[in-house]
Amino acid sequence: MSESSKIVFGIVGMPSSGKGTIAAYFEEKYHAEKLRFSSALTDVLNRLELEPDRDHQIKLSEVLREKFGEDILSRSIKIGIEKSERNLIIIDGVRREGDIEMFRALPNFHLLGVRADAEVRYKRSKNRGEKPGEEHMSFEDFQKLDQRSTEVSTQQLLEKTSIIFDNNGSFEELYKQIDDYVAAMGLN
Amino acid sequence: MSQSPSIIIGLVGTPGSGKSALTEYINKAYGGVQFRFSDFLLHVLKKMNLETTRDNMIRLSVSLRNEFGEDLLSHAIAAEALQSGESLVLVDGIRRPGDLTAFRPLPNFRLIAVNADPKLRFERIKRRGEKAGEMDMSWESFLNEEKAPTEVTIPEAMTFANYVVMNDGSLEELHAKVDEIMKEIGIEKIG
Repeated sequence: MSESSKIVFGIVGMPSSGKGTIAAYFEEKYHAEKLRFSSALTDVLNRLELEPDRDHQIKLSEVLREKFGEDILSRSIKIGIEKSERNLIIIDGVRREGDIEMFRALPNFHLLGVRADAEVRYKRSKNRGEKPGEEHMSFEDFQKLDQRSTEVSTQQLLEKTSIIFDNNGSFEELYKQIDDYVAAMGLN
Repeated sequence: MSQSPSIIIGLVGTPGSGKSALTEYINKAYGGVQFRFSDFLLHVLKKMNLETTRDNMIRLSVSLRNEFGEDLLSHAIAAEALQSGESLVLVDGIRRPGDLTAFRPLPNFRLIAVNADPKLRFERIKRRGEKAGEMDMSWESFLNEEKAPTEVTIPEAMTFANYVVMNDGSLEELHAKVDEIMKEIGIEKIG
């Protein structure tokens, strides 16, 4: 499969804004392959018998970037893209400029954003219990997460996206925006 | 639910002491499954698509322990050892007291230290020429190597040993010493 025929979407958004939902929709409806920055981190944390919560993920990511270079995680994803047999790939959870420098070189890379109000995101994070500790977090602590270094750069990246999906509404409303975008891009 | 191992044997030794020969003998004569600290580091490097060089392993080890605590790998490896379902587990690559944290409280853990006269260890390293440059190593380089961050903590870790094997003689003598220890611990030969 030639590299130039692969389309790669990077998804940017604040915690619990709906990145995973969008990635899952692309997987199901458009047969995309989903790659996450956090998969490798989760695997490593599990092997080291550390709780794969967000706090540990951020710490591990900082340790690895410091010792092995800022682009260590994106290098890992790039290899995932090269190995993929699908022609649509979604990168869930792009947060830093450095992360996408490597992907911008690809002929068909697009940065997609998703936005939702803080209260909406907080409520959703409590309900999904994806990462350990999410269900019991206070709104204050949730907002503090938004201030962490990884999320501040998320805000900056959102300004560089081709489109920002509004995910304050229902699943159907989100999916329609995605379908409209795909159609507009001539991808279906 | 897998059974806890009957015995976990930890191995610590100075470079050129014959720790590998001892470990190999235990494996051959007594069986058991081996866990190495370096396996965890290799896994992480491979997962991140990094080169599995000794240099990378050291950098990773130092930074993980700085961030997550000196006994991080100790707990990880102990957890795996306890879940392994094997009756004899060998834990190889212990280098510092922090590596022992998770093991010392276990009643079925024994630490074997392997050592030998420095001059003899120096000769052995030169003879086997395992790593690049070892065959031409000078006595001064050898002494410097002993002070490397990964090696300098070994003597302190060795003070926690239940058994110390001075491996200054022949291979047969080494085997005999190992047999004595295993008999005392209560492990029978296989086959």
